[in-house]
Amino acid sequence: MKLRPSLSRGLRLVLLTALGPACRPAGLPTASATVGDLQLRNGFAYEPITAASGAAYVEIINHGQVADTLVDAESPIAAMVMFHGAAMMSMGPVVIAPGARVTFKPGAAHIMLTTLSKLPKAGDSLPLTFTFAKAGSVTLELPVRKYGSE
Amino acid sequence: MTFARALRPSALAIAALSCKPSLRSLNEGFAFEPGVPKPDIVLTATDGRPFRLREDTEGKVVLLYVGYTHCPDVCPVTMANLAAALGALSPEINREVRVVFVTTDPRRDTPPVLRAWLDHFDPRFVGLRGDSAQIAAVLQILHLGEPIVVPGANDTTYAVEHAAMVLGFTRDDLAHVGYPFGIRQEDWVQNIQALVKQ
Repeated sequence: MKLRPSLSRGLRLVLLTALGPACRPAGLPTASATVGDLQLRNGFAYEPITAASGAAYVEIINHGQVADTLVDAESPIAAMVMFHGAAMMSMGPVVIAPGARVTFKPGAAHIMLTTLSKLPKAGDSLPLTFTFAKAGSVTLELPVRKYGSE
Repeated sequence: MTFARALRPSALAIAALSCKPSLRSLNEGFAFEPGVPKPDIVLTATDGRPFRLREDTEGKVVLLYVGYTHCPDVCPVTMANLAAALGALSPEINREVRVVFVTTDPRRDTPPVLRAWLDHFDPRFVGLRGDSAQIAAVLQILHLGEPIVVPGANDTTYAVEHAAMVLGFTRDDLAHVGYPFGIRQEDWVQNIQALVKQ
């Protein structure tokens, strides 16, 4: 398999990306919640520029002994919510292994909202309901920030 | 597999370069030597006029990004950070810099859509469109791979996978540096100043 060399190069880029805006102590508001054994934190959304699409982010940590799966996310202001990998590939359901952490953050995996009925502004909140196979559902009121505010 | 595919555009951008890139430092981007040529191509600006990428940016530093306006993540974050960095720099520096955004999605990025989206960041940002052959040519020259259309739930919700890298062209019409996603605003300020001084 010739995948290795390019993968390791790619990984270097991912590491670079990981040290980008997301890990700065920006002091911007974020949302958090706990549902079952799952902890959701660092949740926020960007102020959408157009009704076509928006992006939301959250970190999910599984403190339990069994895997759980993020099967769906819904928002009353978006016709559709999808989980996307770094390169806009749809991820489908996202498995969170016991003890593992799944991170949606700018430049990496993100939660894409499409066809928005309303454009929330910085300072508003955007409700997003996450549904997990085992833990059930939880709604985060994601604080909205402007692109480039980090 | 998904992970490998997700890495592909960036990995391609690096792997495909004939000149061996090296990482200068985390926030200074990748050095490309002897440099990636500025495509000598005519595209269409948002006002409908032809835009000769080389001639119309002659003598200027060009920050070139290829993306599309339905992209909710890397494209607007990158454009917002460039706008903020330019806002923090002097008018003298600003006069020497052109930010050029080439859309990979000319179907949805009509001139008014592209103009309105760029105006959200900075009305000076140049938006360019072309047909798919022209865009493919630009991407090939830049070693950014091919845009890959990822079908959505319906005909208008597709995504366009693309390499998320800003190329920094100096007055020699070469990009000696490519900036991966994640450059902070304060580092953009330094990087733009460095490009202008070269």
